[in-house]
Amino acid sequence: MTTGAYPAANRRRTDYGMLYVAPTVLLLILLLYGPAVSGFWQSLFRLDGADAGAFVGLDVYGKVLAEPGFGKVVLSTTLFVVGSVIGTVGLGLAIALYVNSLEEATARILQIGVIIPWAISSVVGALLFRWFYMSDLGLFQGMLRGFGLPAFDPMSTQAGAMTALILSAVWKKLGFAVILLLSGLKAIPHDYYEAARIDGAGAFARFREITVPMLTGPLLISSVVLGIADLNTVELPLIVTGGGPLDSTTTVALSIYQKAFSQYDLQRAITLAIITFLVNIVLVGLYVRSVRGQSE
Amino acid sequence: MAHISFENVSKSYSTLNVIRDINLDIHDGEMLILVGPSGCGKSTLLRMIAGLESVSSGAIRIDDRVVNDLDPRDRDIAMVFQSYALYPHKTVLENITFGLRMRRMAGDEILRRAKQASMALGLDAYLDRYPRQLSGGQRQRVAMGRALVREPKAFLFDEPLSNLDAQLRVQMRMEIRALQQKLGVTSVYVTHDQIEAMTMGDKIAVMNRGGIEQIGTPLDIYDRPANEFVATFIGSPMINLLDAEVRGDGRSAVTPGGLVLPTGTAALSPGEKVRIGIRPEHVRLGDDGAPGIVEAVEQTGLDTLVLVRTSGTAMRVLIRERRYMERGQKVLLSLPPADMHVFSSDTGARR
Repeated sequence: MTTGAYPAANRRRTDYGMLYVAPTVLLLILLLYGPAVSGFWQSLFRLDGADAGAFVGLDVYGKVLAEPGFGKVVLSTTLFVVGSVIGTVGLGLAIALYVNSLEEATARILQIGVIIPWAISSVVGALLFRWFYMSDLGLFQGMLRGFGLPAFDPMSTQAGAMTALILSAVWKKLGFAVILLLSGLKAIPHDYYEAARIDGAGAFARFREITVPMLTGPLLISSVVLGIADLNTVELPLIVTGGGPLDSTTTVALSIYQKAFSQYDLQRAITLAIITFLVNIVLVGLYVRSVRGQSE
Repeated sequence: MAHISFENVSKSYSTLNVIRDINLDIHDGEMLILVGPSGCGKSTLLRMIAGLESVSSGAIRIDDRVVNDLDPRDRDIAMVFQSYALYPHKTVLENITFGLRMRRMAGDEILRRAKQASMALGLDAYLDRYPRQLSGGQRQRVAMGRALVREPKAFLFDEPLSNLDAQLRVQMRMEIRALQQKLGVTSVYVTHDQIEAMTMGDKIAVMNRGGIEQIGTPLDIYDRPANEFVATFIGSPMINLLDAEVRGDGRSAVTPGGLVLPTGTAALSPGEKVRIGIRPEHVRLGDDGAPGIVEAVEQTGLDTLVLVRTSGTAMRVLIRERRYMERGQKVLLSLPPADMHVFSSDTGARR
């Protein structure tokens, strides 16, 4: 509905309403976007060195984008984000479908089970995974031995470390995906499935023709929210893999952290942070679109 | 087209019997109405025909084939849901043809049937719309269309008109009945609305607490209710029921208030406790009979409903014309013996 459809009196009321919420909105904008704007402003100037304070414009952006390490960071970030989103949403959907078919009491216990990792502090969760994979004493090695398999340290190979990192992210956020998708499943009226059964649709056809299209909204929303979270997580790569081996699990968030707090290169850190911020804005735009699509 | 039969069919959830020992025959091309108060099991019974509910004991047959363990899709029936259950992400055409696509019917045959059904239901202009863009009546038609194109052995209707406004309901009632008679497809129709039951069915089964109280043609049930429950459930305004005791002559009864009621032809023993039912339109206000006082008057424009107090009991009287009466007016009530329904006080069964 457009505001143009309102009669004049109503529009005046809306205008007053805007006035009343203005202070809160201003404060929120200042708190939420102030740091980003100030960060962007600072990124346009030389932050240290002999010519500190000199205007450099977008020079550093060009340099950061052209650096050989940048492509690798983008690649590992993409691998990590896409891998963990697909893993979390895929596994989450499977669990949600299973839980949805269970009886109330059993379903509740299982739900609590998958939520617990989500409720745990992410540093604690990440430490658990680090110990799990630890080269000599870790549970993972113990399990390999138990099955009579040769010892294997996943952290020593690039693919192994990335898989371990993705698994830890999936473990951590699975509960969120399950809850969101389960509520989506519960919102689908049972009549649709019954009508489809009478119409001759088998279990797979019902899933394809009813569940998937009616779950598009929750699937999109959970993917975008999880994508944003994975893109910005520092503690998982920092603690689980430390970014290695050979920087193969250094995501952009970890890279910003390392540049700022290990290499003290605030100039590059802030530039990279602003670039990440822009990517975040794109993802948020996607989120808003999928939420709007959901309500229509 | 098919006939459907129930043989000693029951359904229970652990100790709760929701359907009790149903025996019922629905003939080829017949429209049977299942009617009863909410919770009486009528929808459950319908869903058992569809295969959406299991059968605890007994046998349901469609065309002499026991279908108890048959999947819904193999029963060749179509169902119209109370909620219509139209898929919101599919267009009208996709909704109507879904069942045919699922059965892998040839494309041109699907289109031919869809065209035919949408013409019959006046939906041809809406085929590419989504359910949310349709009015309640149009959605109802789409739900009908989805059942129609299947050309099934039987139609099942689960209160399909209860979400429509009163005017549309009357119109759709006639359309559904006309369509069913034209196609001659065996149909089972669930409703709690006794007017729908009376007007739409070849046969009515009145249900109560999981069992069938009476089966018969609408007028049969109206004229000779098998028990007190059926007498009170069918008929609006509701039948008058008066407690009475059979007098010495065995041909009349008297209420505690002293009102003497003829009991017609029923063979009754003196002193027997009975309940006498008389439909409001059968009570006459005339020149002789029991004296009464008008307590309330309702005008519908077409007819007049009067509440009359006589010998300590209130009696509904329906006059099939407009008559101007006032509260407190004195009247004389006459009760024709032939229109009396006598029920046993103990069992509620017709005497």
